[in-house]
Amino acid sequence: MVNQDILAQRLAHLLGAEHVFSDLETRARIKIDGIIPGLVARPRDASQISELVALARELKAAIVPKGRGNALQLGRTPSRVDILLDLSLLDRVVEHDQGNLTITCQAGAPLSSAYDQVEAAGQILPLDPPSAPNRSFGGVVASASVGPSRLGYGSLRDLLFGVRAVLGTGKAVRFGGKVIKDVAGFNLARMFIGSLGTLGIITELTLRLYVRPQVRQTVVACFDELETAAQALSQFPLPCSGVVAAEILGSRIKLKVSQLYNGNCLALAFAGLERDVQELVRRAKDVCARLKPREIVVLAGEQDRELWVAIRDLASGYRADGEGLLLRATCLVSQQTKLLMALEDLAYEYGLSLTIWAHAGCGIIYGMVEDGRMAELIRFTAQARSLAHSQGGSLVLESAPPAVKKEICPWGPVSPGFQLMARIKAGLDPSGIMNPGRFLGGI
Amino acid sequence: MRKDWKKKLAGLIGPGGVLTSPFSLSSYSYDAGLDVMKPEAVVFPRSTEDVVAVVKLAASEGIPITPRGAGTGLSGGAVPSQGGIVLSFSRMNRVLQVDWANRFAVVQAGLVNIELQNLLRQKGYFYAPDPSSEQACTLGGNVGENAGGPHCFKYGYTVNHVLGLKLVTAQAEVVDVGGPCPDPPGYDLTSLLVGSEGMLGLVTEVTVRFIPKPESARTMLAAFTTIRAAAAAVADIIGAGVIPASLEMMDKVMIQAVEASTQVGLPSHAEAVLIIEIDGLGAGLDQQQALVEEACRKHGVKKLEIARDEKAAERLWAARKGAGAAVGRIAPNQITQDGSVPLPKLPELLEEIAKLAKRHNLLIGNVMHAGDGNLHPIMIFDGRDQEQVGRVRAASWDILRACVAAGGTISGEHGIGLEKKEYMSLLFGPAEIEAMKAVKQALDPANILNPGKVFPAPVGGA
Repeated sequence: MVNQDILAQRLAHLLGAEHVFSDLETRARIKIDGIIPGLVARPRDASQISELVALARELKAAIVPKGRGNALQLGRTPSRVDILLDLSLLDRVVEHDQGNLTITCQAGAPLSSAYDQVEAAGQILPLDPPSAPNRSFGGVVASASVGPSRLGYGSLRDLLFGVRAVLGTGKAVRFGGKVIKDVAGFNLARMFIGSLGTLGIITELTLRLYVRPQVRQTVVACFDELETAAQALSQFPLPCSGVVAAEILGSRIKLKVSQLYNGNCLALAFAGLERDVQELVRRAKDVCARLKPREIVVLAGEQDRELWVAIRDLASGYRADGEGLLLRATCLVSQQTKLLMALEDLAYEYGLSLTIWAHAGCGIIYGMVEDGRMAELIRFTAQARSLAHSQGGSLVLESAPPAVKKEICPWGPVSPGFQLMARIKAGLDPSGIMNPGRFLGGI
Repeated sequence: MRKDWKKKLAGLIGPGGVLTSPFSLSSYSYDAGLDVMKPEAVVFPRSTEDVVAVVKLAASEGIPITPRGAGTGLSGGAVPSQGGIVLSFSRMNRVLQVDWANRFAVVQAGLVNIELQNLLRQKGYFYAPDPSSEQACTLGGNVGENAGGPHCFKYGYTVNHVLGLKLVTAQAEVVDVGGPCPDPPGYDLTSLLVGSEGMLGLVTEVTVRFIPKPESARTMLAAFTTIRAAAAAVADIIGAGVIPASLEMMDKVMIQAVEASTQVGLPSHAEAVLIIEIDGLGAGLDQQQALVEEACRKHGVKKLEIARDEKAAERLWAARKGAGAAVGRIAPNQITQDGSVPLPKLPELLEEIAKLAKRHNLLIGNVMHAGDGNLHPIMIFDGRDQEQVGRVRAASWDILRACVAAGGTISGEHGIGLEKKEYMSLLFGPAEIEAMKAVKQALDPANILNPGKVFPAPVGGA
């Protein structure tokens, strides 16, 4: 056991007493799967984090990093939370290099702090995970959180150019940088994507920007059947420059944006030069019209923006303290309609109300179950997971009550490369203090 | 025991699968870089199982293994710097699966890049990373080096197109990492292995994604009287929201060399030319072209030529991709440096390189992937003259230092290998090197996979 008094004392010496919180009231505000952290520490910069990690190694204290707290329910229940590392003071935009189309931010900075600055320069940061403006850069990367724009602008692997981090050894490092292509040494920057703080604490990162497209428009077509929406999408050869997002919205989704979109819709966003967008919109309308939609709408400007904010934040509708599930299933794109429908059927069988939608060009399906009895949620998850596996994919519970996570691993079974992951983890976090127990296979 | 291993190797792989004659060993002692070292045996596995057998033997005998694709690498990655076994993937060159509906292919590591391109082209698709050596280089080699090519600015480089890998670890385990479905839980080992220069595992199969060929494409040539003007045009093209499929620049030295060798009609009085390829929907191509033209005119373009047809476009591309060959006419040797800088720093870097050429009394031509800030200064010299070689090494050092000072890197797409391992300290401190070594140690504790690469020698020997 860690001696919390000694830890608190030494951390106070390191960070200043005003940045170390041992009182129950503060600590209890940030529970992780019901676990109250031993203390909350708020470092100012990478060098303080470096010293903090060295101290934690010495005292064998477990560190759980926190950005803006949006993804704390992701992963297995931590085995220990001795130090909750609050990154909120690392909140600066370090550099917006307009000519290079990159932005460098500290890990705790919210995406909102970059959006405005980037937009003012006629550029975009094509990163739109759920609750985007209020997510931290470090948190988004550490939890590999993506949104609809992934189709048009790529995954985090494509957008992340560089990372500064403090490893589990306490060493501050910088991998990658601000150029598109960099093959100097092993690229450990990308290893931080989705690593959930288990290798080290991200302190700063650099992302690719794009020039704001001349025109952006969305075609929404709503059908009687989910299958028809998918059929419409299959007529587009993706990826295709100009098609920046393609979502299929399941039968239970109701979006109110100037009008009500009531289930089984396909939303296709196009962006680029005016003539390209005009042409793509024309084609989309043609394709959809042939499949007898209930309606087709073309959205631009503010309405387009509102629609995509609503789609982006569908997952934010999940209450982290609730009794339901938020799941992310993946599969081959050609199998996603089958999987979507099978998941809907499965939920029906269990009497669960499943809201389902997909980043359909990518093969990523989101499902949200509002509530249900524990035993049913567990059995549903297990069966849903084997459905995803049978299509070659995976299923991750992004959020679930701790009692469910105790019975069924939110990550699923370990993948074939797991033993390599465990060896790398041991190499970069030799004392096993970085977010222990939370990750795949209990890493 | 050690002297028996070659016989054992032949027993494992079968006759014709192992070379040990001095002549063949010489053929496998170099790649397209400068370094040379003879292996003790060259082995040609036919399958992942063969590779496992070789690794088992090598691990038990403590023999280093250096993987080799086509040996087109420029940084010594395929040179067996500590002898031992060169493991050539040339017999593992099959396409194992093409899933047209999901747009991915599974290929063996030894498949030549252009063969994949040709296969995909038939059905209207393409694999984006197309290094200049595409006629010879292999997918496995591309993965090892994280290869690029002229289409990276829009489409990304190898790491952006590899979905999964089959690898044989240093402990002779067969492991599949990644796969065609997005975002498998766990660390992104695929992205770590791409660009790891064969030091963390031997990749035997590669799963790549491919994409639909754009409906139409157009290639343009723009000539400028100063490099600054050409660079400014590049910035404005990108700033206008055009994302060219390719945005290549050549300076005067290269223009003249290429023109002398290919006579494609490059304006030999120009200080810089851009070769710009735009692609996309047919409907919007005119608009893209108009924006490119406007940006070029704004910066005083002297000649602006649109390739009339595919043949004309191919000629322009042949000029660019034949730059290396063209230089061969000027002097017996050349070294293509490979640094990368943030885009706004490109003009000052080129000016710095011009100064360095003067200071080191060298002829340096420049070709570059201007869209992504990736410079390729080509140093042209006579390798028989050791004094010249010394100047080339000194100039390389200075150029790469300038790239790092400008916020860039010491290799954009060629890798570190042997050539650049001493330059690593320009970019990384002890903490980064130590972390990379920890990863190496974690996956290859006995250090048998491509040893002696990437890491600088420890200060003070040892």
